[in-house]
Amino acid sequence: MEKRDLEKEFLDMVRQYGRIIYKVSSFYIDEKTSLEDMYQEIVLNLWKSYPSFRGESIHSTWIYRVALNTCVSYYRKEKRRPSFVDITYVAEKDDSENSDIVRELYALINGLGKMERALVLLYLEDRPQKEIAEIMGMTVTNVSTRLARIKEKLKQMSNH
Amino acid sequence: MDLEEVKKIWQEADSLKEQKRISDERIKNMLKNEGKSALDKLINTARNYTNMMIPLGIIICVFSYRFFEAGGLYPVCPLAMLLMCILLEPFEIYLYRLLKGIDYSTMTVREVNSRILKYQSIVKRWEFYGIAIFIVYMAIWYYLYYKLIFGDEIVWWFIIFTAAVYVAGIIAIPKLYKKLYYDNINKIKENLKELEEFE
Repeated sequence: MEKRDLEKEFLDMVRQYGRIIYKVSSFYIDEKTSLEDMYQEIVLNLWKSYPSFRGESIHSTWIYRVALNTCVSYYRKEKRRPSFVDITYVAEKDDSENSDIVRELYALINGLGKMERALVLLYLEDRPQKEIAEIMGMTVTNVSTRLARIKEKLKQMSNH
Repeated sequence: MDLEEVKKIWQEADSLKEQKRISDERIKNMLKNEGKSALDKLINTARNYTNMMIPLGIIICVFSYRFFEAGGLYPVCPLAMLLMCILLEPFEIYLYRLLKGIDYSTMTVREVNSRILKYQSIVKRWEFYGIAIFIVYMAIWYYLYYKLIFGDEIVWWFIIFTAAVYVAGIIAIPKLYKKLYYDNINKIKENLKELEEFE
């Protein structure tokens, strides 16, 4: 397949599944890593793997896997960044209570480990446990157990 | 916080809803940074270390030509460094292959995390021991060089200069270790512990 056709196909895919990339990125930003950094890293790694993606899994599963692998393993010394592309989203202004709860979640997930965040995100995204186990490299039983512990941990963190 | 409740809210109320999607133009601009991802940078660094290890040993031998001219036990010093570089080469190749073998699209999160943490853990420990070995080696090298050039003569400016460099190094080393080693290795240990809990 010509590179131009591949690029067009890839852009269509990012357009369709860009929200997954955004959500995964948003779970892993911190004072050293911006949303733009993480988003771009994920897009680069998706592009790198795209030519060999043969549809063995559905697109969304593949994207979750690459995106989470990117974020969980991300390490870059501050001065060595490629020029990033600004992707500031203009979120709708939402002062509802639901929005406060989601904001609280983001504050709490900073206290979780990288693997725990991945589990929480996949759970919130309502992925089947079998799929979560496949992406994470865990057994289904282990996924269930870990999620129960994380739920308890978040409750305790929230109460403090 | 009840995660079950949050899940319902997450699914229903979309607080991450964007008014604009990222344009194709912006994505294309991102793709121009192909080959510059964090993992690509790590792989390139590992490859560079693999390529420069033995040449580094040879360069030190070249700069130490006076040692070879003097003969006796003097050449042992630069040759020891060359030998260490040769012995380290398979180790550098191992680290390079550890990173090169990472495939984000087929490996699980646990597998990728395990490899990256293994790499970081090895590199950070090596930085710790490497700096110490390098300082001791350079002290020996300078001492031998001094004996070769000046013999038994006391050359104060050289002694003071070398002493000043070493004192500055001794003061800077604890700070350097903290920055390079302790802070990073503690974070790596934390992540390794989390990984073990997931097994």
